Order: sequence, then structure tokens, then C-alpha cells
Amino acid sequence: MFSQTRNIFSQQRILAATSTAACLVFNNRYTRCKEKEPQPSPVKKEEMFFDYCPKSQMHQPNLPYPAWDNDWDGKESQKVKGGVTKHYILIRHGQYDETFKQDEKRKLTALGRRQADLTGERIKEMMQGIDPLFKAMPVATLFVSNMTRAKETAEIIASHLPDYVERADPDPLLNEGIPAQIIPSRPELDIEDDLKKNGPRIEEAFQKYFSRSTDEVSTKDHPNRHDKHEVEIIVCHGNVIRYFFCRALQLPPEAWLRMSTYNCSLTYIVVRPNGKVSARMMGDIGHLGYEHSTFSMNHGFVP
Amino acid sequence: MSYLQRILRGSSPIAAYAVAHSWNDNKQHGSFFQQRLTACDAKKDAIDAKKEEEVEEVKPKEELFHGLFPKRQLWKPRLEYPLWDSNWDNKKPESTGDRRKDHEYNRWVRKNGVTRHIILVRHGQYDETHKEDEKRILTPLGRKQAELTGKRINEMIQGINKDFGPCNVKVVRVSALARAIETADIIAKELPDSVERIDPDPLLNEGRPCHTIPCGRVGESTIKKTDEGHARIEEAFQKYFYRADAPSRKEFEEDKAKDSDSDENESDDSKEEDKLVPDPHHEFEIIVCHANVIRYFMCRALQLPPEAWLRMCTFNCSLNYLTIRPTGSVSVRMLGDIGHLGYEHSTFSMHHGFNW
Repeated sequence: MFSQTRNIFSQQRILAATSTAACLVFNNRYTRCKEKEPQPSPVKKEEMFFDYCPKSQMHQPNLPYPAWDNDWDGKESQKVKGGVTKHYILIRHGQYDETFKQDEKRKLTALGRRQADLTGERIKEMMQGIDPLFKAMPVATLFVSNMTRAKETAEIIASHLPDYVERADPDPLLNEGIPAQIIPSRPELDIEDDLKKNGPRIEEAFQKYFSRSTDEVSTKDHPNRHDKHEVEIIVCHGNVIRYFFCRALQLPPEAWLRMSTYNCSLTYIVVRPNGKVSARMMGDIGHLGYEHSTFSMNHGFVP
Repeated sequence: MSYLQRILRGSSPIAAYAVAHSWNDNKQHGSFFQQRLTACDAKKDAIDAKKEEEVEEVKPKEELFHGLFPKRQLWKPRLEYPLWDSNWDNKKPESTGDRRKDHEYNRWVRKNGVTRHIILVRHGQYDETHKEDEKRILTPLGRKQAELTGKRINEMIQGINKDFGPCNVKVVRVSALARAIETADIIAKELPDSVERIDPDPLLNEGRPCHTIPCGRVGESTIKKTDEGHARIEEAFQKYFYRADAPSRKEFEEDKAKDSDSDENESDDSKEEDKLVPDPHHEFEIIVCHANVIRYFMCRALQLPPEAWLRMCTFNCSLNYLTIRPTGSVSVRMLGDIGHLGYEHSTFSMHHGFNW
């Protein structure tokens, strides 16, 4: 009995030992196998700008705010003392029919066409000038985005202007989109995809259109030319214009939605030959009269 | 006795001198040398003391911001750029701790509170040839600009129809400088008598609200002018820019209960379709003042670096319009709007038109 018990006990012990050994062996093998298995790389947590968004989605200025980057357009070394001043007049398209999704159907309303007419008349007045004191503005070129409402607005404006004003081909770089993050945030606007798609494009548009002139004398050749001033008109969109305004003034572009540019408003920015920038208007609608003042489908100022 | 012995005994004149002024003399008696030493020490002490005084009088060299102006004069926002300080006017309601409840209350305030509309008007073109303020009055062109501006504001007050409703302009405020008062007077002539005229406020006078970037190294007088200007103009900003008092949480709860009780919420507007009534949820204020002040206000209201104020250029009689929602959010609708003047009345002081 005893021997049997012992035997059983021994057997049990052997069994235990074997199984332990087996476990050890198995574990070792497992560990080794585990080591051999490719380990999933730890997910790199993107550095966040406070609670808002990944830091990478914030505009990274060359110098910290509120410093002024003299070489913001890469032309500081070519600057010409007493050279040519560039005037940019950014015009937001007129009120349009927002009920459709396809761009070709998102055309100006009757009110939108009236706004564009009044804007054309205003630009014409500036181009004609009044007297030696209020001189004619040397408008050289009319640029436009590639969206229906902007093209329609530009057509109506151009119909008021002399033929010599150059009509540039529609430029899709100037199309509407979300140009930058929004602070304070507006969670109801789902902007992530739009921002990824359009942010870099709108920054590219800014760099394409905005820079100081490096000419000593203007090379524009039209009846209204001026040696030291060139005016460009860009008909495009609210978000794009607000972004351009922030970037030109080297203000944080994440503040773009703290401004509201009404339909057919003028936003007027001057770039001096030494690279300094001055904004003379933002959202100017005084030429429209109160009864033509709209921010999309919001009429007047209340609300 | 040797000469030395006599000296030591003090019997020779030299000795006398030596005794009187001996190095070994008891300092209590104050030998000549000691006196001299004491005098020297005293003189040295006096010189040292004077030096210390002088050192205290001479201001420690101020730390400069990138070699441009004193660092202490750089505006320090409560939160770093470009964060938005939702309690910028110290009027944010206290949180209940329940985020959902706070959000609900915020949404209700947005709908039921009062939006403040502030329109800052720069005075018209004025005669800059004089130094005394009472002589720096509007030119004829300046008076025309003010008249056209008054007509524009009146058009907003009257409204056009239900869509372009009348704007509830309550007051016209003005700085205490002649050109602004004159502009405000001409504007007020075009407005209904119901618009209140507030006494001129010197806090709104022109000045240098803060340094400008880009700039060169500033001199002492500019530093001093900025100290004076900033304190006053920042005070003006805090005095005039804030959200309207929000209806209380109690009202919110009562309103919620009312809504759940009945769906009947018809207004009486249908009975008075012909009469245009300004929406009481929107209150307009006109503030007639000056370019530097206006540009500084705009930067501060948008929580942008105020040192950027000179990157903007506000023409004479321009409208600079911003809204402050009852929730504290701010939106600028116009900056430097002169479209109502026509090209032939567009001036930035003595610059006419835009070709400059």
C-alpha cells in the first residue's frame, strides 16, 4: 500500500514535475516565439495644441507672435527702395442659391446679381478717378476662383470695367474650403476632412498671389498704368479672404472665423515695396446700401 | 641719548610729531595718521555712499523686447496666442460642474440674451495745421464725410423691411476731442431724437495704445507716451467692450418649464406686419473716436496681438463694426468700411483716394 501510495505520490510528483517542466519549456518556447513575433509599434500620440487639435494642424509662423517676419514672401533680399506698391482688392461673391449641392447650380440669386452690379460700379468709379486729388486706380488684372458663384460675380463686375482690364483664367486654387483650424472651436462644423484637403491648397494660393513687387517701375502696360502702383482684384470666397487677411497681416490664421465677410464685400490690402503690409478695409459693404447687405442667407445686421 | 632714543622719548620735534602721530599711538586718541586714516575712511565712505545713491538713482537698464522697446510694454495675453479666452470680459457664468447643463444654458443664453453691436466711427478729415485741439476741426470734406455717415446709420436705424430690419441704435458715444465731437454732432443730426447722446469721454481720446510691430528701436519719449496712452486706452476697452448681462439660470429653468407645458408661442407680429419694430435682442452703440484707438480695440476684441494695430489703416469716417454675443463670442463684420462715402470722399487724413 505504502509502496503503492508512494508510487502514486511519486507518480504525482513526477507528473507535476513533468508538467512544470513542460510548462517551463512551453513558456520559454512561448517567450521565444513572442520575441520572434513582430511587435506592434506603439502608436505615437500626436502632440496636441491644448484640447483643440494636433499641433501639426496649426499654422507654424517663422517667428513667434507678434513678431514681424521681414522675409515673409522670400523677397527681402530683392526689395527695391521706392519701388512699386501692390494693391489687392479681395471681393467675396454675391449671395447665391445654397439649396443645391452641385456647384454649377449654386448660382447667384437676384439679390446677389444686384450686389455684383453695385460692386462693379464702385470699382469703375475708382478706376475712372475723380480729379487730380482722387486719382484713377490702375487696375491691371481681375482674378477669380473656379466656382460658379465667383465666376458669375466676376463677369458682372467686369461688365462695368474697361476692356483693357486683363481677365485671368479661373483659378481653382482660389476655390472655397476650410483654410485653417478654428479657435474658438466650432464642434458643430465637422472640418477635419475639409481642412486636410483644402488647407494646404489655400496656403498655396496665398503664397502664389501675395508678395511685394520687386520692380523699380511697374511693368504693367495699359492706358491707366501708374509707375508706382498696381491693383489686382481677386473675386473669391469668404473663408479664403479671411484666411488671406490673417496671413497677410501675420496674425494667427486660426482666428479666421472671428471675422464675417459679407457678400460682395471689399477687403483691401496694400503691400509696400519694402514688404510692409497694410489692411485698408475688411468686409467693406458701404457701397451696397443696407438693403443689399447679406451674409449668405442672413439679411441685414439683425441677426 | 641717540636720536632714535630721543624720538622714542618724544623729545625732538620729529619725535613730538612721531608721538603725536605714531603708528603705535592709541587709536582712541586719534593720531594724525589715524585721523588722516579716519578722514580718508570717512571720505571714502562718503564717496561710497554717494556712489550707492547714484547707483540707485540710475534706473536699472530695462530689458528690451528684441531690442525694440521695453519688454514690460509688450501686451501679455491671459492665454497664449492664438487661444481664445472665453472669460475675456470676466462675465462668463460660473460652471455648475455639469457640462451638459452648462451647454444647455449657454445655448439658451445665445438665443434669448442680448447681442451688443458696436460700431466705431473714425472722425472726419480735419485741419492738422494747428496744435490746440479746439482749432483742429473738420475740413469741409470732413463735414461731408460725417453727413454721409449719419445718413448711412439712419438708414440702418429705419430699416427697409422685415428682412433688413431696423437696428436698435441706443446711444452715440464720443471722445473729448474737437474733431470727434464735431463728427458726432453732424452724425446725430441725421438720426432720430430717440438716440441718446452721451457726454464726451476723454478715455476715448487719441493716443498711442501700445507699441507697433514692425518698428525700429523706440526712444524715451515714445516709451513714456506709450505708458500714458496704453493705461487709458486699455481702460476704455474694458469700459465699453463686454457681453450683455445674461438672463439668469432661474429664468432659464422657468423658460424650460414653460416650453414643456405649452407649444403655443405665437408672437403678435402677424398683427403688426406693416410696422417695423427693432429686435430687442440686439442693441447697437455708435462710438465716434480715433484711428489708433479703434485699431487697438479691434485687435483686443479679437484677442489678436495688439502690437499689430498699425498693420491696419482706418480711413476717415470709416465704420468698424463688431458684434458681441450674449455668450461672449466676438465677430468683426467690417473694418475701415468707407463704401458709403464714394471714392471722392475717401481720405486717410491728408491722403486722398488710394494711390499712395
